[in-house]
Amino acid sequence: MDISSFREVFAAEARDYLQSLNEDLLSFERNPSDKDTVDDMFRAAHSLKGMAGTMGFDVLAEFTHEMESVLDLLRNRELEPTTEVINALFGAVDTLEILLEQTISDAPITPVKEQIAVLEALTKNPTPTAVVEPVQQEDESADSLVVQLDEFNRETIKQGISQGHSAFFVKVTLRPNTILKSVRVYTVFQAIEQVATVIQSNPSVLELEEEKFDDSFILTILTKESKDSISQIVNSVSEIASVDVSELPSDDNQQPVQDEVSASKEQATAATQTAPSPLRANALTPVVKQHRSEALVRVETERLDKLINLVGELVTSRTQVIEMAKGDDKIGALDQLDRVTTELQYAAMSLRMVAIKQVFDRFPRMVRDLAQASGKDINLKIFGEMTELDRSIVNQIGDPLVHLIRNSIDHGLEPSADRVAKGKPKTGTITLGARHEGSHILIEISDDGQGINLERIRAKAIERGLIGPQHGELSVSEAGELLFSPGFSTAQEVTDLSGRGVGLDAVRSVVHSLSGTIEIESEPGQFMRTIIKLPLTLAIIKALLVVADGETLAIPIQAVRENIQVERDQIKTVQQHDVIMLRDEVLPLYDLAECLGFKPLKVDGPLPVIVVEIRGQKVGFVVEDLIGQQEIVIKSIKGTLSDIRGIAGATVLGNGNIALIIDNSTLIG
Amino acid sequence: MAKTVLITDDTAFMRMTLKNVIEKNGYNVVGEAGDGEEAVALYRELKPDMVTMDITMPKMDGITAIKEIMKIDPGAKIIVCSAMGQKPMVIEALSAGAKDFLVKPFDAERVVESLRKISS
Repeated sequence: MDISSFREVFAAEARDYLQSLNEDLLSFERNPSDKDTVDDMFRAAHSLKGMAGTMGFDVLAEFTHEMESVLDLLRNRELEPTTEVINALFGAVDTLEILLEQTISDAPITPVKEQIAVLEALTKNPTPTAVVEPVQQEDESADSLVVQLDEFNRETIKQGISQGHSAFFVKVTLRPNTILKSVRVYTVFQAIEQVATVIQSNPSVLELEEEKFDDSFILTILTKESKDSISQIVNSVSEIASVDVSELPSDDNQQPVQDEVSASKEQATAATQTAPSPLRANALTPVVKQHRSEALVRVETERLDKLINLVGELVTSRTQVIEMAKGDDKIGALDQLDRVTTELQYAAMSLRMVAIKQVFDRFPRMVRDLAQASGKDINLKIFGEMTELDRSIVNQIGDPLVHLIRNSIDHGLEPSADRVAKGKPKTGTITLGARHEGSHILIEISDDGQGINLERIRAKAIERGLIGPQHGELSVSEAGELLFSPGFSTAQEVTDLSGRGVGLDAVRSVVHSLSGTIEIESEPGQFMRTIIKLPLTLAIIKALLVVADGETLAIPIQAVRENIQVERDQIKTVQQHDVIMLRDEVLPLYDLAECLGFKPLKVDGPLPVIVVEIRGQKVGFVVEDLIGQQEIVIKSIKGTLSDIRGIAGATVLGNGNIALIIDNSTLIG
Repeated sequence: MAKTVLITDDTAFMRMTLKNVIEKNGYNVVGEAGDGEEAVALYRELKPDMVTMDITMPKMDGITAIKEIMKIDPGAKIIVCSAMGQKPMVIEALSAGAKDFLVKPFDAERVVESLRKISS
């Protein structure tokens, strides 16, 4: 699986979250009573935590969790938004930014114990008295290769030594004229990191990577190995001129260390530093932020949309031209136009369409980690991962799916012992799948766990004041509705997995913003299934043009199953509704004109009927006439006309007329 | 007994050059592969002590081949051979399990150093 392309998506999204956290903090500082801002920040931190956990970026996830805890206290008004608290939060966002860039660029992660302690102090002591300053970065230039350790690196080293590690400076000098120096450095890191933790690198990893160093660099490491064995390990790497391992003065940890490591020169160094560039002593520098790989081209959606719109216009005029030329000899020349525009159209469309695999790919790892953390046996089944959908939807659907899967693991699946006791297979199964249905994509997440506990949800909803105490037994769909309400959670305790009942609420708002719907199916004790139904908001679709009450209407072709002719005497009435028998199936008939509020149809002779699939059900629409298939460009209808039942938009036809596009899912109740 | 080496490169010339250097220095070249697929098959068959692996090759590239070989034998000792300007791929090869890297054009001493270091 291509983790690197995914990293970029993660990075881009995480940066967006950090950006919005920064903005929200600023506005929160101005207006601390604004509850929405706190909620937003909390959600951003929560989402970020989930994303980081999914990618396996534990330090980032852990740190975000700490920050989220502080925000949780704030939004519950259990913590005063004092300047100290806000400063600490700004500091936390800064730390997150640094951690993020280090994580993305595979640089060594700076220990953040100190910063975590700052946040923990706030959550453990809800009315903080201690003034907590964000950690200051030292930005010292030096004349020679010196190591300066900042406060928390010193703290980390102290901790390490107390746990039986030794701290060493390892000065490595590469042979002069080493080719691909940075890769050689990488192999040195690889070798050392098998037996040691690299606390700091001078010059910084970034500078090493950009080959902004001569031939030497110094690593500060913690290890259980001896000096000699470290030296031996580094020497096993090719193209090393010399290795010099020296001990850190352990009693000197209280003071800023400014050790001239190059002081010990028992070994001949092939090349000494002539004029090294100023070295940043600490990896935690803004410089890191500038380093972003561009493995993934991000195209502004606006530009993409414009391209697709243009193609749409082109398709329209092609149709116009073809119509003009009909009967003439110009058809041959038009073939070319036809071919080119078709190709252009597909090329443009393919820019927008991506397989949902891109999102699904991260879940096996996530489920594995969560299974381990929760001590449950879980098997993840995935189907339909090649189902394609609009990239804008793919970009947004990841978070909701993370929430739902975590919910299944946390609340759905029972511990193995309970499952065995219930006579279920020991291993729980989570199924994640996608498929097209008509002009929609369905994404479903199901688990064979305990299903919805209707009674518990009812009790909780009453406790939360979401329903009255006299409210009777809940139906599954009512329970589902409650589960997705803001602030509702049946989690017994806060775990890393489930969070605090923010997830499902966030899921619903994302799905709604994509004009999708969520449905819950459940059999208590047996399973729970969440079905997310999203429109395939494609800019260009194939449609069947029909006439009703003199108006031309477009029915998206994905939903159309067949066209039939129906004789009047074939129509029967069942429960006061017109139906016909179609190959042993009862097909309800609707008058399309009537459904849209037009004048009911008056046609003599056989009726043209379009068979359409709606929510898995086939229905027939009686129309006045059938024009044929055409590619149409969806133009959304804005303003007061935007929400008309049964209408998805409009399009300009080849002859310049306007046709309304039918949204069959809302056409009949 | 002399250590055995499998050479992988899609050009016969490079294989020849490498074989020459390697055999002169007391190693035994037991096989030559012209692409990644062949390298994986030969690795399975010959179980060489060391492998040199070109990156850009037809059928199966060197990085994929390294991953495949590491699956067969997590202890495999592979030296990745790259041209200048293939830094990201070299890094990828190293993180996939290659133990060292060589940059073309090969310097005989570097080849020998690399073989010596990874075989010890």
